[in-house]
Amino acid sequence: MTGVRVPRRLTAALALALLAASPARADFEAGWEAYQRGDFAAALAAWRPLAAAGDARATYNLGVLYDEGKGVVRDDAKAVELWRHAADKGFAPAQHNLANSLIAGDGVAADYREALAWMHRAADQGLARSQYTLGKMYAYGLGVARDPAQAVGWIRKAADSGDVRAQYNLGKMHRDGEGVARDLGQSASWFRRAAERGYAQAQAALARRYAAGEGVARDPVQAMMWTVLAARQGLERADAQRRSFAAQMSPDDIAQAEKLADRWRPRP
Amino acid sequence: MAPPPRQWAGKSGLPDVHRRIVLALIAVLAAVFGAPSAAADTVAHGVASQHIKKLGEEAIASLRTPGLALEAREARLRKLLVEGFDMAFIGRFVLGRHWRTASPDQQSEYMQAFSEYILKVYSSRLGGYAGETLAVVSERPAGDKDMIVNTRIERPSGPPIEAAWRVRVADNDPRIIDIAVSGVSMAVTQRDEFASVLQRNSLNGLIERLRARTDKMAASR
Repeated sequence: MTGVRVPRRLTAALALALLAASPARADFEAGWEAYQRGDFAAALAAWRPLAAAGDARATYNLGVLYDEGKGVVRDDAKAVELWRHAADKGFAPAQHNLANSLIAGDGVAADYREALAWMHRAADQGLARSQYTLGKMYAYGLGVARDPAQAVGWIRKAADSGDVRAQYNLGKMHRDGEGVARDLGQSASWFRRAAERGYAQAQAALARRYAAGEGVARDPVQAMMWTVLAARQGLERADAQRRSFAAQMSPDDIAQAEKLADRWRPRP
Repeated sequence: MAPPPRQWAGKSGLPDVHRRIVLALIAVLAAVFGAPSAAADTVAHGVASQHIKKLGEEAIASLRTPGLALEAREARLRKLLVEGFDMAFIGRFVLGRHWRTASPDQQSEYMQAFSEYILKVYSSRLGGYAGETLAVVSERPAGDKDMIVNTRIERPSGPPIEAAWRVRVADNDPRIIDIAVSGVSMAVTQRDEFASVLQRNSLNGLIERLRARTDKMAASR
């Protein structure tokens, strides 16, 4: 073995880095525990030096503290600055939040085009939430020309990764033939996936599929059960729907549906 | 689209008001749901309120549960807010005249975005809970439908806060529709802020901004 001559200074730097690695991890964890306790001042104190040393995750977390005013006076511009640092290092959640600040105009002038570019980078890294929002940007034409096919493509990626909002939206797109072929069976099955995880909008939508027998066999009891579950989460539309379904059902069927709703548990 | 105002929706000069409202909220939950009190007797009667009371007790228990992750505590308060507040009423009030001119689709999208926004603003401040206590000072009817419950919140970290809770009791289902802290109404404050956003933006613009705010991710391990 000939070996590679490593400059002594580099060896020393590597050794230092290795030494530093575990205390930095311990500091990060101390910050995380403080954050979980609700001691945001201590979290801030633990993460600040790590951020100053270039740790992207600590920098991102500091941004969250500033954005939510936890342990500090709320400062959107500071949050944007911190997220931009972490985003430049490739940290996907920072790219996602920076993009949202650019959409909302929080702490920075609103800029849909720049928002789209950051959302793209986070989505390309596989962040389901970013894939969903990117899909909506294509659907609405925010920062880019409207493109229903791109919208469906990104929303499907997010839905496949388990994002309930994306699953619900894909259900709507299949129902309405928006950027994708109309397919009521597919529509109901995407509504179901999100409904089973407890997403109220999807529960109300699935209830309507059962009531109309569209994409599923008509079943008034199932329709009632799903609309009751959505109404219990405070969805006003579902509450109105519950009353209109009830007007056409026997008391026994209503009771049966309520019982099913009581027993129902969301899928994790 | 015109750039939005740099500060909006509960930001400029308002964090303190929001913080106080949250402290008041947490304290009133503890008082109304955690222990028997005048407020609980007057506001809470009947089957629906028993349901709310039960949820409240669960949430207070979870606030005091050591070792429960911050996000789990926030999720529990969220559930309680959904039960305790008339979010649809507040959402419509806050949008003012723009509600009537919105399409049904816009109304539904706005309501979804608004309640997410309110839930996030309030539940994300849960971590500040530090042993506040609340006393019901007085209560009086307001109009035909509402009760106003005046409370005083004692806190270890500063002077007491006066908070007034406007509760609408309809069909035995009491719901909070406004909180005024030191005479400043949360609903009116929020309505003024939205109005200033809507001077420069379409309703869709407001909805997108609310969505973007609530779409942000939490701290990461």
